[in-house]
Amino acid sequence: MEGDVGNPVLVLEGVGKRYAGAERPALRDVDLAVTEGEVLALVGESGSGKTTLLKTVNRLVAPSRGTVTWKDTDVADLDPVELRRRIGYVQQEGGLIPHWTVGRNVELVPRLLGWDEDERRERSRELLSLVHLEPDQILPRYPKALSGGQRQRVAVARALAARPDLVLFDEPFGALDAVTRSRLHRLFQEVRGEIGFTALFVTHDLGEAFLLADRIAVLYEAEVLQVATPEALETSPEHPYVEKLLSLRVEGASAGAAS
Amino acid sequence: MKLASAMNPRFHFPVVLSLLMLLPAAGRGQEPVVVGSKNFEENRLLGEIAAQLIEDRLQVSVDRRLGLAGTQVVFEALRNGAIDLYPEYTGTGLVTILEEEPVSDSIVALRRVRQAFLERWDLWWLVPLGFENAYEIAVSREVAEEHGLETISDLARVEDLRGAFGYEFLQRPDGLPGLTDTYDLDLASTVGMQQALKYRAVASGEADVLDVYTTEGKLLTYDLQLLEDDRGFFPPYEAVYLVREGALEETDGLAATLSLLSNAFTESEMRSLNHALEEGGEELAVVARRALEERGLVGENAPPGTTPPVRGGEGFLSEVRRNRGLLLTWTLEHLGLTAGALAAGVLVAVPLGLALERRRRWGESVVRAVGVTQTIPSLAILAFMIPLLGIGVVPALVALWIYSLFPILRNTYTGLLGADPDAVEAGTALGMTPRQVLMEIRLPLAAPVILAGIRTSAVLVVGTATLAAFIGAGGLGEPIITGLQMNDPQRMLLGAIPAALLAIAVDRFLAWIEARVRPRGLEDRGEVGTLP
Repeated sequence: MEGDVGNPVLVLEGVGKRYAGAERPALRDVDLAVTEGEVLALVGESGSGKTTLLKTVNRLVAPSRGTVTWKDTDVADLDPVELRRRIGYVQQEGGLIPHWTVGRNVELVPRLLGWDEDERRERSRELLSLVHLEPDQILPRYPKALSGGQRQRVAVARALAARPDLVLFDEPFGALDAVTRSRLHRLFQEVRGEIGFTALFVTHDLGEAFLLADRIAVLYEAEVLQVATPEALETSPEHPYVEKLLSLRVEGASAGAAS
Repeated sequence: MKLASAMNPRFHFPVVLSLLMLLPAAGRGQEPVVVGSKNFEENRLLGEIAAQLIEDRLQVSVDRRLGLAGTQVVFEALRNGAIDLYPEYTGTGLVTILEEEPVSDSIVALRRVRQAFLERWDLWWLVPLGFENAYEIAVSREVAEEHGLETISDLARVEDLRGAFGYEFLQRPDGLPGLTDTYDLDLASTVGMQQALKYRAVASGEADVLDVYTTEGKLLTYDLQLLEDDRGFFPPYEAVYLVREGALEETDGLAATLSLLSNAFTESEMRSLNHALEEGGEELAVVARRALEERGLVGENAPPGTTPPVRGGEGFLSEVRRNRGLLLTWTLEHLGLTAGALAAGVLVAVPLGLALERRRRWGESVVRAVGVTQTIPSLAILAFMIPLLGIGVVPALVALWIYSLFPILRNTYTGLLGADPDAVEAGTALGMTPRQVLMEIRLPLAAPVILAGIRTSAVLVVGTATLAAFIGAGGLGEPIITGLQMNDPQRMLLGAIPAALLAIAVDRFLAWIEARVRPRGLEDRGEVGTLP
């Protein structure tokens, strides 16, 4: 483990997961720490365990062994509903609720937390502006009327609405075309510069991780092979698989690794 | 009288009841006399003769229910007041209805049935018509001459004869079984056949012996030798109008009018009339009119052609017009049954579906178990209800309710489970409680699917409800079943067409609702419009 600067807000120790009836574990003995204000990317191919790892944090998945500690408390001791309301979440396809307007989607967590209506309104307008969407135009729309890029931007706004302590991104830009994706990469940086957040960011694209993350954890067959800053990873890969990923990144520019 | 029975409070829905109150009273003034008959020519003719005589002399309208299927059906109809009178035969009354030993003296037979029917059911054997229509045994002329046959005892001496008999004759105690015992008959073979076919079988030499009725018109067509019943086996079958006592009270002069027909027909006259119908192809109403005129019972100046035609000759639309009051009653009863069963189905199946969504381990098995109800034939479900709940509206509602459950439950369960998994995950991951996810995400998204299930169920129940009439729950099945028994296609259509239209209307209505409950945002992209 390196880069142990600042306070770790999230610590995973010896986390393992074997799904009922599965032959191989989905996660094996993972140790990981995320510090305040940091973006940590989880990179790996399909089935490497990165999404499972992400979901142990907000208790969508219960680990078979090990502990997930969040601000000095084992998440297993927290009420999952309370915990999740303090953690933002963005899915690959956005996960916008289709029969709700954009406004209602963005205001979801503030509403669950009992914010009053004016406060919710103001916050959602603020965040939609932040992700470069015109609030008056977009608030009354339904997700189906939006483009893929717009949907992901709304999903990011929704995840950030209640000022979460941590945001989980599950391949948020994976289904977008290259142009839209690079536009959203820029937007991601901009938003982070504007309001700042701590995040776990799952991607299969090492290029994306290099662009957006402070540190990168490479997962392969349920194990974390290496955790390092992009520079450290590039200069001293500790595993042949990491080397392979790096070589693919050079060949395919940002077109993605092992997928 | 018919309407009165439809309006009696067997129907428990206040709404339907209050709607019924709004109906204009249909049978203004004198209720029509309902004349029934069995489904063979002579009996129909005697029914039509009585009907015309009543219309002509009493100026009372007559509802004809001619051609009801078999003794049991027509007798039941009389007993429960669905018809007021029909022509019956003393022997049938004694043996088939009372299940007593046959007697050979016709006076004794009439006295016996009169007494018993009056005591038990308030039914009058009113007017002996003057002829008997008994079973007789006949053989072809050639066979008779070849073996020298004149009596049934002669027949018993001959071996290797083949019999062709009516189905009822094969079964009845006063038919072949009794005959075989009495005469020690030894036929080489016996087959059951339709009335007309057995004559042809004997004429073509494929059978030798058959049962006939004394007054059957076909006896004038085919060359047959009737065999004397020398041991007096066949009981007397004297033709008599059997009348409900209530009808005699309701309609003044009914008894006196019918008595005009007492001893009005000899056996050979009756045979000629039957022959005119069977072989001459004359219309029932015309033959009946002529018979009445020849006996001076109706005015000569009324030309035969102007007599009211029998039901079968009328247009469907006039049938609808004449029955519009009843039709409305049947339709409302039908709607009431459907709505009641469906409402109960929704109230049980939707909450059950919601509960199962939270207990998925049992979900599939429970849904599948409820699915078994669909494999039970609907008529069987109705039949199961009789020992449990008797007959009428309540067992019909329960049966239809059971039938309605599965489509609603299946669609509720699968609709909830199948609701957009990304949306469900988002709701959960952002901190909605399972209950909030169910009520705010799964349920609205599943609503169109659930409603589609309700729609399927509604159409199913509208169709199945036509069978409810079998257990006396009324509805549009009533004319269908009556029509089946009377072999009256128009009457069947009177129920079938409105039932079909009702099913379509219910389907369209629920489709309209379905479009309304579809949450906004699920429409096609174009309807909402894309951002520029």
